[in-house]
Amino acid sequence: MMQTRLIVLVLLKSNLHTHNNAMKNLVIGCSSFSNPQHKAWNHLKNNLEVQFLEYGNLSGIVREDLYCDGLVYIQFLDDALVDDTSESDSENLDTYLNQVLSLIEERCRSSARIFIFGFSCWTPINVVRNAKIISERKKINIKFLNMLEKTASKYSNFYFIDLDACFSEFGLTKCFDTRNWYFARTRMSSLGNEVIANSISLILKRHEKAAHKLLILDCDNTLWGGVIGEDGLSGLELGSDGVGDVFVDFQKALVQLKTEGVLLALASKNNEDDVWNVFHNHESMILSRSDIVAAKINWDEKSKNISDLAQELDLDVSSFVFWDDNPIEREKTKLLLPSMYTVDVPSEVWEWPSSIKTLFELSKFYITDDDKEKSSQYSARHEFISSRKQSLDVNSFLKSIKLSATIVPFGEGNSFRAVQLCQKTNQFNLTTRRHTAESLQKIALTDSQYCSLASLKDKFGNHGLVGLFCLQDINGSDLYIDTFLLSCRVLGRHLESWMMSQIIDIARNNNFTRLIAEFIPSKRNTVAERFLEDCGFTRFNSTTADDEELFAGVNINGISYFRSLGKLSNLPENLYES
Amino acid sequence: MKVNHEELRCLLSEVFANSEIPESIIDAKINDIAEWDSMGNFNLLLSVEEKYGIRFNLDEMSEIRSVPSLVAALENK
Repeated sequence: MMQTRLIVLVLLKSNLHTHNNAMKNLVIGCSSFSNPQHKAWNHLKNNLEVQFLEYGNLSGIVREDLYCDGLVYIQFLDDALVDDTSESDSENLDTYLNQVLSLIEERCRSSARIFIFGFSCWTPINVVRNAKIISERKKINIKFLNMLEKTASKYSNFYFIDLDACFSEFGLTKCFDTRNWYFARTRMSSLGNEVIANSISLILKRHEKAAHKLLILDCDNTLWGGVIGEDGLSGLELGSDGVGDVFVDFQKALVQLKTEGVLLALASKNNEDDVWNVFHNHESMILSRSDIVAAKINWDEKSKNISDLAQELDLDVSSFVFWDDNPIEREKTKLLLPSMYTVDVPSEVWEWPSSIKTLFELSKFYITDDDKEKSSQYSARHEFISSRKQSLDVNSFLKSIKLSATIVPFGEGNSFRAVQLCQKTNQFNLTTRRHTAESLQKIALTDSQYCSLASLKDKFGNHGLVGLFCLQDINGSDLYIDTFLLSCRVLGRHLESWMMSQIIDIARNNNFTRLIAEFIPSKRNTVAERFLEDCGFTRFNSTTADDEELFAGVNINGISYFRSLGKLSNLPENLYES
Repeated sequence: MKVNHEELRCLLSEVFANSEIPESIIDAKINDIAEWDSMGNFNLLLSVEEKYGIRFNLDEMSEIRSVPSLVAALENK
């Protein structure tokens, strides 16, 4: 009886988590010859086992025996213009592209694994023919990109690449090579192949690992030209013409990043008052002091300052990007904080605005509502940590800040945020399962309460959706906690205990007798190690005969716990207002 | 253009990275090296073009299938 129970549990798990493993192999298809032996593919081949589909076979992407962790398909419009379809035959082309799209969607529906679709429409421009009318190609391009965008918003595992936009960065005519087409049925030049392979690898990288969270900036000769301590407020190059304008644009780009959820911090060797004087009193400053989440302005080593800052914000330096005009400072941080990303800042200042805007480390697939609030949330948190330091009794301090939390069921409006939490939360995360929108949806379908987010408010601000749990009914009497996580920026508020009490309520209301939970140790989640025991869970003891039977032949990933739902509450003191 | 055989050998070992390259490549031709099939030949020519900043025409693309013919074509450029 016990055994069947756990087997069911494992079956449920394997259904939902098959996509969790790190990516090992990639299949690449193309509407014409993709030249698999070309050196452009080497860097993908170095990290993955890469297979190439026979070319021109789009329906291959929905083949049932196609097994892969990741799939890429590259479509050239020219390859659709065969025999009886010409580019002016828009009706036929429409039909064709609709077929392409329905195959794409079929693939997205049948597999939760990553799927990247690249599309190129380019043909040499004829200025005269396009001086009175928009070419059919251009229209098709825009229409198809719109269709792809819709599909991408529907399926979280689907991404598209506007290849012509990528090629144009290097020159479209340099990326294509018609000689290669007539010689080998490949449309690309070596450069074109490199562009495609690079675009694919950027998307794969971002899909696997979230963007960096915080950008640390130097001040003198970074936010403005000149040195405030020497040149004084009126001597700085900021605003007015020339290089002063560049710093203004650079600051504008920083503010834009902030609205996209990138946290901004300062690390500057300066007198603190001098720096804030520029922030408050220079009429051309775009950044304001409130845009900065935390600052270390002193004469200490930057690496020490940055480590301290990481500790204060409870973030890891590996999620930091460092921007400093001074190559010596950069060499030092590269050496002393190798896990931080130190930007090789272009030597020409006028390249900075576009360089920061296109920096891969800070680029995200989409911006959630929560991203927009992130900066003020972290500022509030910094304030929270400093005022907690001054308070002696932590619990009475927490009671004084009016903590209040609510449960929000998973749904369309918060699915991006839910996926983002699953992808990005490393510290307070019991199982570190990287759910996708589809797998969360699956859980929510069994019972809307079984996939829920927690939203938190206190006197320091509204923190938004910061916690998530997923539950599974194993057998009607045991409820399994598949996922339980909490954003690190709200740690120290006992929200985890409040969330657990909500789970206990759900379990009791649905007449379960036991909660089963798991802690899967990872490199980063030791902060959650003792949580289950603190909540009255007991570790399954594998030495007793009963449990041996329980785990016989069953692959449990982590350390398993259970908790009965009897009267005993065993939870830490509730600090939340109801 | 004067061609250095050692340089060419280097290029061959880059393009056919998973194959053994013979000490002397002076007479080497297509199919002598495991990866040097017709597509390997195509990619070899693309790499040669990139390295020497030259361009082969369609005839050359199909005719150059050995080190001697490659050297001869390069000497003409």
